[in-house]
Amino acid sequence: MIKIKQDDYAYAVGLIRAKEIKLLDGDRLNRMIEAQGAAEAFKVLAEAEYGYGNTENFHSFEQVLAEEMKKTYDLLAEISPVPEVVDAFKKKHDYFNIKVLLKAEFSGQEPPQILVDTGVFGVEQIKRIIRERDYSELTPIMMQAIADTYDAFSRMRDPQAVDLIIDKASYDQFVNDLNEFDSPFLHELARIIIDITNINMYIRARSLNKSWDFIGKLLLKGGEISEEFYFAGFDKPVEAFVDDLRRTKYGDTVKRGWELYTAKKNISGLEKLLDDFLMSYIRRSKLITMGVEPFIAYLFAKETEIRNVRIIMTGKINGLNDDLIRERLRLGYV
Amino acid sequence: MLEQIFTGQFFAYFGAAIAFLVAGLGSSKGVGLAGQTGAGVLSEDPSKFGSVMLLEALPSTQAIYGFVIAFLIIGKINDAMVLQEGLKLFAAGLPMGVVGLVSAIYQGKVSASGIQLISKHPESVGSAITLALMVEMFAILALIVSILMIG
Repeated sequence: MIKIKQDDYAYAVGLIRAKEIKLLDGDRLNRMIEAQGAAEAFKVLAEAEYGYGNTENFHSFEQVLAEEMKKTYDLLAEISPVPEVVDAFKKKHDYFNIKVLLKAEFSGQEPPQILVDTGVFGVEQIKRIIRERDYSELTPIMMQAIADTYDAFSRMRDPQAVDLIIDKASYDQFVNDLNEFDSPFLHELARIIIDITNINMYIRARSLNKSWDFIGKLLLKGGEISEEFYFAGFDKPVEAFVDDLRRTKYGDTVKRGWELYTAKKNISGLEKLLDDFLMSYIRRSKLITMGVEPFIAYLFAKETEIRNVRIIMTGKINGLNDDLIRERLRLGYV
Repeated sequence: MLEQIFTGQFFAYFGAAIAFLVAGLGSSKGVGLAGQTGAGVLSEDPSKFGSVMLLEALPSTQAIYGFVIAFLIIGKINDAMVLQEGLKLFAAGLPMGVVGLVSAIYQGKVSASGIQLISKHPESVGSAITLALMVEMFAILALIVSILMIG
């Protein structure tokens, strides 16, 4: 158990409250959506001091978003009284890098330029680790995942297996790390993330008529909804499963998501609603004035904001109409 | 032997020590907490120094009250003091010391929250101060009780 003392967060929380005013609120996101073209939408980001000031060309917006993410993680790492908390969130970026590097190795190509610099290990460091197969610095879950990936690929030659194994390990690591901290808020966060990931995967896989064998392997453990519940639902149609969920706190959200899916055959509506459910949990941190909660909430706020900005910029560049962009936006923190 | 150590004077000094020491600890903790949050806000927006400082200083009053009580008790001490008189002054130091400790820590928390409030809504500095002053009332009551007990 890693102790988390509320009062240690006094400085961090003060700084974060002052930073929160600069988050892009509904008004500013609206200005981006209603802007005439991508270039004008991009100006809002320049005003908000996004990235490292390289905001002249909207075609480089992905780079600006990556810089903004890096800035956020650097800030949090600097002010965090318990460095492990930030590391727990950074590791998912390491898993992403590991995935990209392993896939490149299996296909015999150079790794593409999409490695991210927000992991616990730097880009060059993780490249070296994978190239030299020197895993001593990695966590046990990472090592196991890499070994499993080599094993699965040598048997099946299927690059999709890499995605499945590494993504699952990434969640296992995250949940494992969060449960290490002495904080009910982080434990509940872990449970909610497991549940919404499982529900989303389950409904997606069911609508693709996947077997239980496939689904059972992907289910994450440690959520409020047990594996038996999913298994019991497997014999019934998906409607019945959605109906069974009504006794849980996810009931309404999943029901609305399922209605969207049956009406429009579009599963991303459910995904958005589940993300919004998570954000409404995070939003409760607004009422907490001291402790790890506002600290983590800022990270989620920033991640969601960057995601929304990406949705808007891609929409603008591809000339989507305003309502379609608005429909896809995630619930923000402010 | 023991009668020579535990005299009326000893207990009276002990009461004075508790009044200042314990209340002072509370103020240190309260001001410290509010100060850290204040530094966090100022690192992002240095223009708020005025209101941040005002809020940060509020939990320091408990130490001042503790000082007043300690001063009054010490003023009552004389060489011919009997044990009962000393114990009475010892008891008089307790309300200010204990209530001072607790109220200063909680006032520090309210001040830290108030500093977060003004970082977003600078116009709410009045409300932030009022909220923190609510806690002050208990320290003031403790001060009055201690003064009445000293007599």
